[in-house]
Amino acid sequence: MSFGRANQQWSTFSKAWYLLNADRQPPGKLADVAAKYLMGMHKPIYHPTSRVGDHVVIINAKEIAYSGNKWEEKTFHSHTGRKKGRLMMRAFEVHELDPTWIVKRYVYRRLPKGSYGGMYKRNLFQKLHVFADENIPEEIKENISFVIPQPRRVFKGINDYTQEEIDNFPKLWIPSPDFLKR
Amino acid sequence: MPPRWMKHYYLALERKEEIEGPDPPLPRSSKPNWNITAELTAFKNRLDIEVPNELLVSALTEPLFNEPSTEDTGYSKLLKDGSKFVEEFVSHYVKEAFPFLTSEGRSSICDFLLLDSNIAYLALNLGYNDLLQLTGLRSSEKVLAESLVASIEAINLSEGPVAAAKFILNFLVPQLVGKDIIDDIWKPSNPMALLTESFKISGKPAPQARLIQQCGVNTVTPIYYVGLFSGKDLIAKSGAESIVLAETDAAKLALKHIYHVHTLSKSPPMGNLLNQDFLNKLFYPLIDNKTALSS
Amino acid sequence: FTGKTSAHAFLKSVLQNGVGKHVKQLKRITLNFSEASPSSRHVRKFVENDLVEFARKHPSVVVYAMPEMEQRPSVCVEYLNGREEVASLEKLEPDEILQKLDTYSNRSGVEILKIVKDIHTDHPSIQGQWHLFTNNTHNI
Repeated sequence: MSFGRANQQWSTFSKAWYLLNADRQPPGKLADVAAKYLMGMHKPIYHPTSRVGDHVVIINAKEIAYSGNKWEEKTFHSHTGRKKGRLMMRAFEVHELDPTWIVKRYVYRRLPKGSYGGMYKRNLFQKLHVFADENIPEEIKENISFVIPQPRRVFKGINDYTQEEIDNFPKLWIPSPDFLKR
Repeated sequence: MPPRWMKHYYLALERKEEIEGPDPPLPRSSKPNWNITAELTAFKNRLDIEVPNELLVSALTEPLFNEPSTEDTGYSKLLKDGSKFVEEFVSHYVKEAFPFLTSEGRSSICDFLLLDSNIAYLALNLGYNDLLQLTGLRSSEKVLAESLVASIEAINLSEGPVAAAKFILNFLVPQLVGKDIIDDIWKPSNPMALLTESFKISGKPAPQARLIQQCGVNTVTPIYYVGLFSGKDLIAKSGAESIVLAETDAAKLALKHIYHVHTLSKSPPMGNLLNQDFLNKLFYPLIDNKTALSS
Repeated sequence: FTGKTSAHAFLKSVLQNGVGKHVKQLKRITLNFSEASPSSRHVRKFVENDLVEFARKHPSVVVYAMPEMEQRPSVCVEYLNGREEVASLEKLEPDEILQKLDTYSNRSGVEILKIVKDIHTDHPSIQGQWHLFTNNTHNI
């Protein structure tokens, strides 16, 4: 089954819109996946000289998860170029200021570098849309038609279970009423 | 480089060419290395035809149409009979080669094959333009096309209709190679209506387009993926920048399968694909002594 | 970006040649040579010994021998598509001239250029060319 030639070309080279949920995902792995889709490396027609990248919409960027003590230890640096112009912020401080900044930074650093990057890198970055929570503009929501699977499996937290599920869960022993207080 | 004092002469020549346009190209026969007998012999050997020289020359000589008093060398008669023969044979071939196509589609293929520009291109690349004797009153494209048709009639007169038909099969019909019947030649304006009509004849429910998927609808490059359904059966799918375009394209795709003109379906018989049964069927109306064939 | 491109073309034949009847694309050969000059002695020898046989072997080609005083030996070939080529025959032995003419007679007449790849298939895949919605399981 093949289309007419013009429509086949249109269907092959149109840009898709992907949704990626950043809820409880490490930003590094998130950026790896997003950069791959931005460059179009997931397509069988990929070639470095042809621009076949897709749009990626990342939601829930404020819910990203660092492992270990990285929120405290990880630092982001900047320098104005003048004396005493150094700026250093810890990850949780940056995240409080702008919850989308860390994801954007990680994706930008994973896009092609050097003389080959250049304007291409900036063009690709324009196709990334990051939002702090699930509220995204209606215009962008209508464009989306595909979902990228999350890079890390999300386990259910204790707060995600309803009271009914907790009550119905089989118990090996019934603790005494003062067990938790102790 | 020309001398300095000749500058104004050359500039004047350039100016003259600007105003009057370039000179018409000289006929090849005006050059010293030209022998008309040898050229005609080589021409006949090249195309594998056996026609008397006088007949061939009269097919390649354009009479002065504006002056009816001048003697017509049989060109107009050859042209009249030839165009009738070519038209009949081409339509017969198309009918045999595309048995699933409607009459509208068949006539569009015939029109394409008999286009003046198409036949003139063929004649130009078979070496007709060197031997052609032109009056220069009409466009050379039209005369080229006419002379090829007249020469086919000349073959018909001297060698018989089968040889003339073989000439058409050898040179005119292969023009269809690489052409898509529906996309390039027929170009139906409303394929959905054609599809509905053909479904009505075969007794299936009318085709209906349903949107399967869409992407990037608020951008300048949206894509809509549409499926054509007849009842619960999926007939064809297509994607395009608007729903109407996708629906039209899917209908064309379905038509290609119904008419057996899809790139994946069997190609029309030409060249090596011509088998003896098909040729017999093709030449049957041309042969006078029809009993000879059956024996 | 640099603007450095050499002349190139796709490999193609003239007029679907060979689908129906195969037509030899060379239509005319003109041998220009001198009657007396020593530079044309090989061409004169070729015309005396081999030219008739060559012309008999290629009945669809018209061969002209054009002797003229004080002329350098050259060959002009004309093809059905309207192109013509001129080549020098200086310092070529008769067998080399024959080889050269054979090469010209076997050509299609299309200008010799760098051939760029025309990647295509006569048998497109059954499932069709890839597009956005092929095997894409990650739908909303």
